[in-house]
Amino acid sequence: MSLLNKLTVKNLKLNKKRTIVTIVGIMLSVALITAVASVYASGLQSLINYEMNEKGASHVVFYNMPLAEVKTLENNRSVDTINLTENLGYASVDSKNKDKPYICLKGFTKGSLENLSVKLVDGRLPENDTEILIPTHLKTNGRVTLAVGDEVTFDVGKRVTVEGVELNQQDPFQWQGADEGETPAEHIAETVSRTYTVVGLIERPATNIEPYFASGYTVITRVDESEMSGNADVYVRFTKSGVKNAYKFTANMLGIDDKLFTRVYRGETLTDEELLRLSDEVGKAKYNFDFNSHLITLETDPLGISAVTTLAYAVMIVIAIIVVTSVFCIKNSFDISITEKIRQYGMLRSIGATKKQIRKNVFFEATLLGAFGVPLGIVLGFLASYILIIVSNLLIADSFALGFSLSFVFSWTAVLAAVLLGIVTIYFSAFRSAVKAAKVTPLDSVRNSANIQVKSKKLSSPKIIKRLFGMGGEISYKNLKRNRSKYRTTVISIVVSVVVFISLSAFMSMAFDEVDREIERTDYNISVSATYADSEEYQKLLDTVSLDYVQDFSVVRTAEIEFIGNHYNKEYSDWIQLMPDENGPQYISVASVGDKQFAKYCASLGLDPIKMENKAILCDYTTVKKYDESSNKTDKKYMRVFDFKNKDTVIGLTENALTENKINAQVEIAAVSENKPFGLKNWSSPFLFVSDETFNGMAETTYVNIYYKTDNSDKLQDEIEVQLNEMNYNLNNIDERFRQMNNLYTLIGIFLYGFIIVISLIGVTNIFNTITTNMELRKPEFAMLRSVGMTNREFNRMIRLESLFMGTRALVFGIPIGILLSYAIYHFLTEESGDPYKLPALAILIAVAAVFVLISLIMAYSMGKIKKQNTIETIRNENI
Amino acid sequence: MEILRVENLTKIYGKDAAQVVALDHVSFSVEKGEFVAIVGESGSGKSTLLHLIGGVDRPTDGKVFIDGKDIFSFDDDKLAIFRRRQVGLIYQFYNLIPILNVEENIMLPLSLDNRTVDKETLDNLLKMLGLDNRRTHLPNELSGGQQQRTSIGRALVTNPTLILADEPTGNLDSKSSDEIVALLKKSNKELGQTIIMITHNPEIAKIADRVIKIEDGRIAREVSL
Repeated sequence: MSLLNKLTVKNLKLNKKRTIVTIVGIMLSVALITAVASVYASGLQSLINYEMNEKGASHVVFYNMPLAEVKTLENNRSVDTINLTENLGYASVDSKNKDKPYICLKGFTKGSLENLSVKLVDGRLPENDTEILIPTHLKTNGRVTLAVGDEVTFDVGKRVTVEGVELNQQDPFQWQGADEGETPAEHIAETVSRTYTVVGLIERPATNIEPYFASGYTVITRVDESEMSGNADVYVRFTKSGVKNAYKFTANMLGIDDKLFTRVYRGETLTDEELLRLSDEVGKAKYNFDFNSHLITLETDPLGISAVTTLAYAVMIVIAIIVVTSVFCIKNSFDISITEKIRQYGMLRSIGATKKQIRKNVFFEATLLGAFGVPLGIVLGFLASYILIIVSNLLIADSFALGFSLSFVFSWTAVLAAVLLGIVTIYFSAFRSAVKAAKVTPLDSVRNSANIQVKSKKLSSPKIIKRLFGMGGEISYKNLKRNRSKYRTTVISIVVSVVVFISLSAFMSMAFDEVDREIERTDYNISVSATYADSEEYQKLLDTVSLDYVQDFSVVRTAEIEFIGNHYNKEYSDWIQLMPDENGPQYISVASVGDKQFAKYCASLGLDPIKMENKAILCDYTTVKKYDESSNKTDKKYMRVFDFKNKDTVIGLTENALTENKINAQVEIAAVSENKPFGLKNWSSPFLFVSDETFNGMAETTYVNIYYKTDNSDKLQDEIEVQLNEMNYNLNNIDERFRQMNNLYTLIGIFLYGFIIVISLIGVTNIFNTITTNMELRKPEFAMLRSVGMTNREFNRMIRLESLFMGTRALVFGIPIGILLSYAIYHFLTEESGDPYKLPALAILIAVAAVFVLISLIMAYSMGKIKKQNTIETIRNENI
Repeated sequence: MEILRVENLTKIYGKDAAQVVALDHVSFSVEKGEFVAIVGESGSGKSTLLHLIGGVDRPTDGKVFIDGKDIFSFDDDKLAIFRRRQVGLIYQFYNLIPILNVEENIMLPLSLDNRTVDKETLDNLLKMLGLDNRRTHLPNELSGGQQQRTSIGRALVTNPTLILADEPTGNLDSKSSDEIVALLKKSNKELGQTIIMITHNPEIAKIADRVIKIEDGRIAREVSL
């Protein structure tokens, strides 16, 4: 190592603390980049894994390919793996779905069972050709009850049309003529009776095995490749390089022109003429085929997917922020290091070091620091992203019932990105310092104090400072002014951290408020809505309210009464500037809530439920929003919608949505109330509440909403699901949704706060270096002050004042900008909800406290060092 | 043989009203092996002259030829390389690097050139400087005289055409001063080293072959001893 480099190493060792802190700064910056890149790469891989789990690992399927052709595929270099399935034929089953009256028996090889989307729900995989797997939708959709362990006999044959053409899963069920569902145009021929044992239950296979329109439920048995004959469905997975030409390869296999084919799958828009030619070509294809285009795109060109592109942009912006912030902070460390060595550089120049040598020397220093910081940062970054992914999976496990989970992958691309960006960061940081160091002239070493050029005018301090804080105060004030540029970077780093912290905290609290609002507005935990076919199903629904865990419930059925005449409240029509038609129809909803709930509701209003025949309680108080275009503001006002009074009668017609059957409706208003019965709190339209009996007399419906209040929503959901098995209904578990949203926001919070903390830490390394070095550089000044008799107390006071000045300056900028930004976030995020802006007071308080604690700690730390120094020694050493 | 020629060297600091003429058309030349002392009051311009000859500063007007080469025709980097090979500088405040030891400080100019020196030459130099038992000491472990001897070593190690010394004894007691002056004289006599030394001490100036007195930026008097 040359003496010059040795000198650098010695200097770094001498300033051990600053060196370490700078390395930590670099490490954090690189770790952050690594973590972001790694999470992105893991997310992308997780998407690929998800896609492979959903649709299998194959890129393309060729249906019904002769086995002889398969051989040529197997030997192709572009092909990674091939999985074969054999069509063994169809058998009729007693299915309720008239477009899907068969089972389609397929023979899977061992590899196909493993690599295609066969997802066991229960039981095990078949081991020979007498064992089968059945899909869950055979029961849920076809209502065919078969269970694991059952023995079943199918009459397996070919699906043929009346014309005798053989059909397969790519052909929907054929009907005669245009009127579907009347007479079938196909049947099963040449049946052979076969007996199987059901050994497992699987999820509905992916669409490349069973398309949505397929006429048979896929039933899978095991076959061996050696025993296969005739044709097979061939699932092809390409090699890494092969997948890039997947479309061209496929076109060649199909024996058609690949140019248009490739273009259309790449997402290009073709002209009408080209499309015509393409469809001609595809018509000539030798086989039916199906791509897993999503998987191909993810593996070859993930940015072709818009969600990924958005994510990639976000990643780029975040990384840009990290790099800029890091350069800003790390730059300062170099700056300090160079300023400290100005005399040294001057001396080196005077004995003949070239500018290039000095520049190289600074970059050597940067390289050394990077050699430690970058690898450490990469390790730390991967560790952090690994932990983040584990935590994310815990938090999102609920939200994505579809089986999506993040999996950590070690990505060389992320390493490369981090190394490159780390180097860029370090060299950008060192660049200015290198230029500055090279500019040092030999004369700077001769003139003793070349680096401090003070203009007296700039240093005049307001008299008030001296009066308030004494001489110490004045010196500290002047010091801040003298080292303005150095302290400016410190102040800006603090400002950045404070701004980011305040605005992001505000964002988080707004997000959580949103969740709270959602849950506050509903007074129920679970709702079920369903359309029932008959009274048997209705009874089943009704029975759910007597389940355990149900504390309160409403069974809500609604209808709409159409009546003639204007009954809008004047305040209402004025507010929304409505000009009601005296003779036009108006509408009001009528609802029953179940006898029990209705009785409770009446009691709360002091009415006797028994005397409520053909009487209703009117509830038409609502908050009406009005959007004013000129001011771009939404106004809201709480008021009544109608002018009906007690004892008024509403006379009109209700209509059954299905049968269009109209029924006369007439109710007398028994009370007008602001309160709605349980479960309807967040329904904002006007309602007439009536008893079940009254409702039955004036309306027909097949739709019901049931609201449950419970202290154990998950258990209740399970029980309802058991009870309503095989029915079509919609269940909404508010507690679960609340939990999911909370988890999601917590996750976002972890990412955001993690980001703020690391960015702030990078800032802290910068602040630490600036303050400690400044203290170090001012050693002689301190020694002088003490030698002329400044006491310890005065000295400490002076340092504390300096912290105060600096902290105050940072906060004076940081807090207003932070508030401004948080208001901007409020404006974009929640202003529409009409909630007032809340000052992020807590975040501000935390920021203020943190800033002063931080500065004081660092000051105290460096003071501790300085107090130990020997006054005379310091003054004497100045001349060496 | 003429080793240094100074022609009409002029240096003006500042502008307009604040203008200071530090050197005013100074011309002289120095022969190989000569020991020249430059004397003058504080602010007479002698340090400026030395810095210009050493090529660490550039003149407003005039030329400096060292070994026949016009040094200000070089760009900064070329000048730096020229300086480290041809000129040795000695300062009043030694200007050693505090974290390098005696040997390393002396070797620094060679190291910048990616050169090294054999052990014997270095040993001889250290012996001549009287620093052979101090070679691994850091500057703050040395006396002022020892520090200055180190910086003389640093100037001598490259076998420069010219040594420029700026008040080499200005910061030393009389005993150390005598040592330093003796050392310079010795290198002049024994090694035939050309030396230009600034001093304001007439006693020290006496050991030179020639004394040039500078007043208000001009040569006031030249005396050969």
